[in-house]
Amino acid sequence: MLAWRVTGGSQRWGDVLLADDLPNDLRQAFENVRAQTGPDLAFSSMTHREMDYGPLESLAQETWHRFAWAPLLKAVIFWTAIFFLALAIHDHFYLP
Amino acid sequence: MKQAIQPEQLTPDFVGFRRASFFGAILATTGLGLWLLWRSFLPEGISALEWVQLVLFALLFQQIATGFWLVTFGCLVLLTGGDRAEIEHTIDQESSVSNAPTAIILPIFNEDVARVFRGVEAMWQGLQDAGGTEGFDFFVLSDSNRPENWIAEEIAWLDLCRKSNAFGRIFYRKRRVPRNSKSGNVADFCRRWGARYRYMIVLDADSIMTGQLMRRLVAMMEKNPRVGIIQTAPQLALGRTLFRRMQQFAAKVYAPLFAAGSNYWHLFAGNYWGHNAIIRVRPFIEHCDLPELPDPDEKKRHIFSHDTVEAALMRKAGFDVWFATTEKGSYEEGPPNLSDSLGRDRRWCLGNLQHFWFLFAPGIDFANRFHIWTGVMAYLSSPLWLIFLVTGVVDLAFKNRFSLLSALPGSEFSYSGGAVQVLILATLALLFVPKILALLTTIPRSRPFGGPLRLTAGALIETLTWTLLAPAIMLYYTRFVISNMLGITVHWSNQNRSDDKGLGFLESYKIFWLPPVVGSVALLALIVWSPVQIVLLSPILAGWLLAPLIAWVTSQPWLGDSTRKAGLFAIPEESPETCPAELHQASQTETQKAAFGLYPHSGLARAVIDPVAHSLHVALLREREPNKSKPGELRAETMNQLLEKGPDALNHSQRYALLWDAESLRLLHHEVWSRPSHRLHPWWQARLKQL
Repeated sequence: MLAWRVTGGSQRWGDVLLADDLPNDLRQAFENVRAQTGPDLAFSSMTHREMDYGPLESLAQETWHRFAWAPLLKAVIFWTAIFFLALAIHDHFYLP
Repeated sequence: MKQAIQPEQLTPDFVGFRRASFFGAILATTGLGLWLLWRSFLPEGISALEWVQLVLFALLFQQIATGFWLVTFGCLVLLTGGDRAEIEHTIDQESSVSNAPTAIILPIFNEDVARVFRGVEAMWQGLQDAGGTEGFDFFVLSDSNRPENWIAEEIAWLDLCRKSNAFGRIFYRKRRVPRNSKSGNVADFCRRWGARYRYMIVLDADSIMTGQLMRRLVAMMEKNPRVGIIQTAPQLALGRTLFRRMQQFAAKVYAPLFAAGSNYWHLFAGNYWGHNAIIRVRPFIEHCDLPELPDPDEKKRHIFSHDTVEAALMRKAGFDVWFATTEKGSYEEGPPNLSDSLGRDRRWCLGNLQHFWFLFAPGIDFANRFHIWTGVMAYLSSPLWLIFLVTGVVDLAFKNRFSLLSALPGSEFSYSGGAVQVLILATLALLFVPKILALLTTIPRSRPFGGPLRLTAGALIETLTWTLLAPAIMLYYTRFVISNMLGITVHWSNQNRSDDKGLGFLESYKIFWLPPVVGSVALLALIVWSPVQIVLLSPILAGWLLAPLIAWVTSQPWLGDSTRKAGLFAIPEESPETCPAELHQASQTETQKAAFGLYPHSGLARAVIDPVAHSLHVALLREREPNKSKPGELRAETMNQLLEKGPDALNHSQRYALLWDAESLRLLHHEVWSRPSHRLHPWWQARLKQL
């Protein structure tokens, strides 16, 4: 079926598809079909080299994994909200 | 034409002068801006908030000063007849003959199948027209995990090879385990076939390169054995929506100056953008496999954005990385609307922020550190601008309140002694002078842009649109940065990948609800606390409030068509006389769209029913694993379930696994064609009739 599609068989040999004796040029065309998805493999070793990240790596290993950012952010948002609330109350009740 | 300087003639003095002049100008400009801001704070003493502003300002003003000086140096280079030190000058205009083995690789992941193979066909034809395809092989490297895409890709590949008589020259590879996304896909190619090729030209799914350019790139690499990567400057093209047309117009007008300015300072230490570039394969295999990040969290150790790191590693290994700024014939497509653009930025943001790890790594070239810093600041600057803005507004509001309380005379700005006004003007100049310079250098060759009037009108509208969109983009970038830092995944659904259909009006408000909400809250806060600042902040407030509307308007293809008819945002590639044949061929959409029309479960239907798709798919599976002749792993009852209850009886993973099982597919194919119809689910019956 694949060879039929690749050779464009329906245009050239449509009338002999189901015949008992296939024409030679059709046989030849079918035999020449090669649907190659890639050339022969030629393996290479591709592995990463050791990378020295310098001071940031030490900092991260020593500090960051003991530090949670989410609670810090929540605290910052909470106290910012308190600050602006206090400011609004001050402005509303105490400003001339 | 001035005498060209060959790469080996670049002396330390020459390179040193260029870098000193470029970075000296940036430092001087940043210092001047910082001094003006500091002076404006002085009369009343510098508060804690103002110290925060000064630090942020130094970082942010450096960024806009860098943009300004890139364009200014680029302009000077172009006005003085071009750069003598460019990699393009190492070969003659006609020198493009080389048959060095070169792989042209396209890593793809669930892309528009018709567009991908149309592009490959156009480039294959382009190579033939430019002198022959000898030495070049194409590889479509698929990581697609949607069955419909996978099967359509196989059929498209077969048809293209048949049509172009390119069996054995255009290859298709599907990865079973798509590890490490695109960089893993390229590395897999290198491990399997890299040793066969001296160079590889890396493309994106939407890339187009002319045959002439590909041959010239190979010739440049052959002439300069010290060069590891040559990056071209891809032009945006084939846009239809207003958003894409404005972007491609802006890129066409502004990018040449940026590119010339970039090459001015980095020369042989350029950057790599991940596509539309040629790479020397051997050093890439030996030195550029991506290391793991030292992140304490194991899940965050994979590098998402590989290109900048690969350029740094190539430089670390002693190879040059050049930017071919003036070569024509390199193209890509941009996102069709703001939503898709931000979806892409979400991914890029994560990748760029990860590069921060390399900033202080020993052995990294200074120029690469600057590329990394620029990439990090492209996103990190948004939250910094937001903090700067909020602290500035709060600070000014406080001063205003206390000056009112103490009944000091004068306006809100009087305490600055005029320095603030100078600073605002300087900032505006740094932002807009590059655009004016780019416009002025384009006017003499404005004919393909619709003439000087249309060119100027286009530049004005584009500038106004992006000025209004910038505050909304700042908000989203801030969200992306914070989310990435906290390890939260931001879900961003791409509503519309095609530019045939714009965003719906309500859909736009549903996507972009954040900026109007922030804008409304900010406006209310200003009315209550500091009404006088509303005028000063009106461009930002207007940008936030109007963001969904602008996103909706710019996503419309009909508006893109109308502006095209009116000659606005025209680029030379939109004119038949100046459009390269490859680009023209890739833009012909009508003929193939129907053939690759994807519908739910179309992959399964084709792989099971369609005799050609089935035999091709099974043949490719068997080619991968020729000795695997064991019976199908799909159990008989599961197969019955699939045939009698339809494809929804299995989940996505099961259907995907089925497509990897040649024997089960063969049995299913036989069953579908031999079973009486009453034993088949109506879905199968309908697909059979459709065939």
